[in-house]
Amino acid sequence: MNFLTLAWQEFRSDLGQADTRLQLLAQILLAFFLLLLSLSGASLQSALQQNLSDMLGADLVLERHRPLSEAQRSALAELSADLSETRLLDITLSHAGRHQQVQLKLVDRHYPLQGQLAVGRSRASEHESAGRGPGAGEIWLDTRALVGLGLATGESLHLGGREYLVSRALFHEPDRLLEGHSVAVRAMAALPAGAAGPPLAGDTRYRYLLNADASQEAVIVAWVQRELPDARLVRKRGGQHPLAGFWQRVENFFGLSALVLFVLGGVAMDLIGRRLLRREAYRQAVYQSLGLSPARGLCLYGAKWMLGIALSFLLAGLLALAGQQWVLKLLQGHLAGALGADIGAEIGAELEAAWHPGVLARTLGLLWLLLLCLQLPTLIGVGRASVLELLRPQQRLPALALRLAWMLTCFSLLVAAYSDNSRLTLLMIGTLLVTLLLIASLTFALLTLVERLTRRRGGLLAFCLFTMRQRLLGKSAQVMGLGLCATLLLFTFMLLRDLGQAMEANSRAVDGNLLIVRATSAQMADIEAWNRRTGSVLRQSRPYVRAQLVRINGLAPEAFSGQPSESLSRIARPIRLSWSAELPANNRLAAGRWWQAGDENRRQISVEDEVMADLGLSLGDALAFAIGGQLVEFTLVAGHAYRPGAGSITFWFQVPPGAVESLGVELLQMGSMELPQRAWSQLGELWRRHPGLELLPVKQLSERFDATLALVTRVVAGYSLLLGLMALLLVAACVRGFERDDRRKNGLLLSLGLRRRHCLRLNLYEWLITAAIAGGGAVAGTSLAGQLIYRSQFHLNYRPDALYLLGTLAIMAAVLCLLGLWCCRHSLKASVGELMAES
Amino acid sequence: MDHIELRALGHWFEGRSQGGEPETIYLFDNLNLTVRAGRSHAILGPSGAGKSSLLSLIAALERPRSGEVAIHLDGRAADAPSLRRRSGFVFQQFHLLPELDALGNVALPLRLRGDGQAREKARHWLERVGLSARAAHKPNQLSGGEQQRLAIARAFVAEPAFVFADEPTGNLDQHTAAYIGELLFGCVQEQGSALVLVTHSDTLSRMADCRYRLSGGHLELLA
Repeated sequence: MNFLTLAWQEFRSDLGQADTRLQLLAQILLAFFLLLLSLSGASLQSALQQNLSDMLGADLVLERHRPLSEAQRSALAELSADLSETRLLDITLSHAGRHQQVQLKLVDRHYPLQGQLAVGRSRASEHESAGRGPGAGEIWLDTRALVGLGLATGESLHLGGREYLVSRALFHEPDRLLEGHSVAVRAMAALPAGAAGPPLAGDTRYRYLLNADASQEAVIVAWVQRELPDARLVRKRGGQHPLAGFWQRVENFFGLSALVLFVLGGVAMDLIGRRLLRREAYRQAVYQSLGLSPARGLCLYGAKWMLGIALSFLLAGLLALAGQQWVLKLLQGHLAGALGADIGAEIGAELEAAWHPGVLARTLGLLWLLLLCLQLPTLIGVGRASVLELLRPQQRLPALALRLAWMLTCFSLLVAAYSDNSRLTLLMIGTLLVTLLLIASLTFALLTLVERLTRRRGGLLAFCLFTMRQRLLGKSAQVMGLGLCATLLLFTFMLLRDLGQAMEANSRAVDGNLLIVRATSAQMADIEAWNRRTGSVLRQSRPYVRAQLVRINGLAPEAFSGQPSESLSRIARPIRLSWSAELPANNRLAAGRWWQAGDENRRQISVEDEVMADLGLSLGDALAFAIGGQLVEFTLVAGHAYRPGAGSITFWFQVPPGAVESLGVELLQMGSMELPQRAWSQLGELWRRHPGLELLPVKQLSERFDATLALVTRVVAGYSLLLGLMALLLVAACVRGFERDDRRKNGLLLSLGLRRRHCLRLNLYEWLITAAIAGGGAVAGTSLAGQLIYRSQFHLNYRPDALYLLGTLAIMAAVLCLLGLWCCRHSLKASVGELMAES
Repeated sequence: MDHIELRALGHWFEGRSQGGEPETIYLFDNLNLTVRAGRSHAILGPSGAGKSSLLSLIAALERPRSGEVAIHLDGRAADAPSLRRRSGFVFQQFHLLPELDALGNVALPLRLRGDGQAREKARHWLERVGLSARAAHKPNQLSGGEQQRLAIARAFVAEPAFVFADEPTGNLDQHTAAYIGELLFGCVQEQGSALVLVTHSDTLSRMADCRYRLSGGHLELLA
């Protein structure tokens, strides 16, 4: 028999122990969560990469929000093998009293460069391939547009004062990738040669499809970087799918959620680890008395630990593979809905569950390192075991503070690797730290004080306090574990509930029932006239220009920020740049100083607080925007935040009046209106005159919110299940931690003539006191987290629902007491003799 | 010949007085003793005299505060880990592993050394201590006397040069204690090991070749 056989035999024998099983279960849950996340992410990334090759419709696609000059266009044509120009506009089509918002694509005669169009003679007919787009005077509509407008192929449609023949139903475009990330209904028409396009006002995206070999591509990339800083270039070779960044952020968010799970798992493992250490140190001492060197003993323990890791990773891996199938099925359904049927189906078909060895190795490696870090106190304890303990029992100091500090360091490192929001991470860790300190002080102060007060009194309660005071250190660890668990659970449940409610309330609390997303000055004048006729009211209106952030302190925003975020993703497209002499009523100053009336310097800017944090901006930074073909640089002088109660329209970027109006760019308006019931039927008038006018009924907005909310709810339900399981595990670890002590105590009390019900009552007192301290700490911790995190991270005012908070806490405390009592009853089933024998 | 030599040994530890003041508690000073292979040594003394501490110093489990512990194995000076590889222990509380059966407990020292014949040798030793029929029993299924017999078998199975015993009969009745004493000294004689025994029992100590009394910090050789 060799060393490894012995390790294997010991490991198998340890599997029969409840503590070992609990520890393995915690490891399995953590590994399952991380593996599921990483494997699903890798499958989606690989599907996106495949999709990029199949659906880009060209080797490169260049997109911009203003057209190339003739010289730039010629240079690009010169550098590439083929070039096709398309334009995209969001417009509203009207026909026979019906309206339909569509995304109109205007294509030139070279379109498509790669792949084929799929069209039909009617919306129900077979798909046919087409090598060219619609001819002049024709328009192709997708089936939803045909249904929405009540049109059939062969009929005519008025658009911007011209008549177009609906000649085909549009099923598929080979360059669907860049325009398919929305549920937008599509239409296609020919790009008039030599003209600036049809007379449509709206936000136009100018897209240039290019064919190029590898060497041409390199030249084009360099040229675009030099000449067109506000352009976006997507490449088939080694390029990133536009959805990849989004998924990266989703993964990062889950990484942060993993913190909560890891803290719970870590505390549970620490509590279990303390008992495992006692058993293992005893075993090592016996081994050393039998001639084994401490180093070999440590190796034996290491081998057993590795066997446990291997088993948990194997089980978690199998579970994660099964879970991955389920997640991918969910994603397929969601993508089909969110991205449109064809691209969703395309990506969906490419989504396959797989092992992804590289991802697997990286994830498991990281987890292994983390578990090793968590295991370090036990390893040190085992390494310090000595035969002396068998001769002369020594009291081990648990070094609670050291272990907790070490655990928090490990978690901070994990979150630093996963989270994309350092502020939220710091707030969360800070809150947990303060909560722990609070609970520790509360435990110490309360138990010491009350025990002193009741010292001279008899009775079970005084005895209970005395025993709790005697094992203060161990008790503190238990209360802290439970308190932390309660804090995290309470905060997570409260936040999810409040966020859901706020999303619902937000979507319905917009001023008015129709949002003006984009209107030119002429359109606004027409809207005001229309309002007077229909009895509608303009509630709010703010001016803006479209501007693209191209440089921060001389660097591209991605290079400056360094990590993906929601804000970085948004600024990849032009943003709305507004101006205001004074701080708007629905904003508050979060940093710096707002410009004054007599200020000569017009090149100042204020950025929304959260965006500043996301992008890593500081006061004094230089922000360069491309505005109507000109590069304008602003100095960051202030940060502002949204303040509810004075209108819902606010802007991320704001400058002093006069800073941009003089640049000669198109001035636009954003606002909200309240339409009486009868005005809705007359809205078509506005759209017929101005197809490019972007109006969004709040009802439609709330439908989008509802769809998002449904998805969030589903994700939350899955996460809550994992969280609940981990919490149960922690509670079980806490309860079991003192089971042996309780058995001894109960045995002693029964032998002294007390009845079982007294033991039960004593136990109830102990769990009630424990739950009260942990609960008190949890309420304080949750309030602190609420105050710190709600406002700064979720724009919510923290108004705790005391009833909900206390109700949830009472349920948790009741579960804890019942579990504790159940364990006590269980231990009391043993006879006094048995109990005494154990002592 | 293998031996352990204690030269001018002194040992003390820091404690607190009843008033909570720091206090140094002296166990012994300038203590000399030689433990030779093939001989048995019994150390008697009242509780708190430092018998177990002296045992841990002889077994090189801890370092003395003053003086020296010299170990000679196979004619050469050796260090503490070498001594530990050639030692066996018998404790008052037996310290058997509860998850292993009797055979597993006895075979353990050999398995830790990678001995392929561990089970066979363990069976032989179980037979030697009269527990062959209990090979598959776990420690909690055995009586105190049986557990100590198991612990003795475990201590001798790896043919140690030195065996250290800490109150090996402290938890046993008189009849069982006598039997365990005979077994222990019989095994020492058979193996040619050195035995260092710490005990309160005068009867047990009389079975040893040399008897010492540790009292008031001095080690006295008894006739």
